[in-house]
Amino acid sequence: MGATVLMPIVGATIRTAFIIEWYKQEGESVLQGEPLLEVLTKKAVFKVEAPITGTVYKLLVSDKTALPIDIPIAILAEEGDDDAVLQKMVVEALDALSKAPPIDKDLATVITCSIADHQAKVCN
Amino acid sequence: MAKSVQRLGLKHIVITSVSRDDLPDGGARHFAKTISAIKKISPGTSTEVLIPDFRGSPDAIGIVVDACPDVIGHNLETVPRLYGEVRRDADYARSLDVLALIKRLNSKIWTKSGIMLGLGEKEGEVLQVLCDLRRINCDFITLGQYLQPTDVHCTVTEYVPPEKFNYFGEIARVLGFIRVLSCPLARSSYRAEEMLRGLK
Repeated sequence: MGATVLMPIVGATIRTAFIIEWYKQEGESVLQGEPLLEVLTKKAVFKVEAPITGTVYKLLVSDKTALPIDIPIAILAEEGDDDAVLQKMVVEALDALSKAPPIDKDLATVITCSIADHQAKVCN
Repeated sequence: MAKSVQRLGLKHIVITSVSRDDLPDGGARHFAKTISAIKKISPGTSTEVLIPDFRGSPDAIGIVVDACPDVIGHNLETVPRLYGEVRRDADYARSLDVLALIKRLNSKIWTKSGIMLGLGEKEGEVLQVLCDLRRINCDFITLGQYLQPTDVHCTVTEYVPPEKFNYFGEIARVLGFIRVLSCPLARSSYRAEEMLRGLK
């Protein structure tokens, strides 16, 4: 059974995180515990590990994006997973993303800085 | 030094030294005397010192802090992973402790640090350095392009594009630095006087 990766809760006062870089792209295999992406908060940089061994089925958010914690950011698939089930997980995750609370304004400014290749966008 | 400052009519001066680990106080008293002399005969000049780590000596750091310069800078220079190649005799944690101690001894003194980009550092490592500096309430940050001064120094790994400097600068502001200078030509003393504008 696949897994939905959430932006982890990393502290009582941290509500927004910024994706610096995805280490894995869609279709790449990943081991449980392997770093999946690198994230910045106002306190520290940290790596988010893959919760299961499998492949990256869908990255829901691109890098250089600021977003709230505790929301879906990727779907991982295990060998033999039903594609229809994974697609349903993607739809549900995107729905949760669309209802995500607003992010801290100051961290949000990072994603509006005048750098074309660093502009934020949500993957479709 | 003080006479030169007065004669030149300088509004701001940045004073630095080579590492003087051969001296018992690492040169701290020399820094302090220079600051005091400038303040005495040119009180309108703001003073900034760029100090070595004094091997972490609280006494030496206290001597400089007691002279009350407007700004005390100490450069981290690069990310901790590259200290072995770039700052062989230095220690990342010790340098952070120097800046933290300055703030604890006198929170009214602005603290400043700088790092060079283009030495092979990764983006996340740079951002972690920024977080580490903010954790100890460092106020000012400069980020500039490393250039190889001689053949025996580290080679340039990358010429970082200006857009990337803008990106790091933007994040530095978000993290809470009061003054940020992030561009290829930035050096620790580059446009130093401008950093104090509006803060006095």
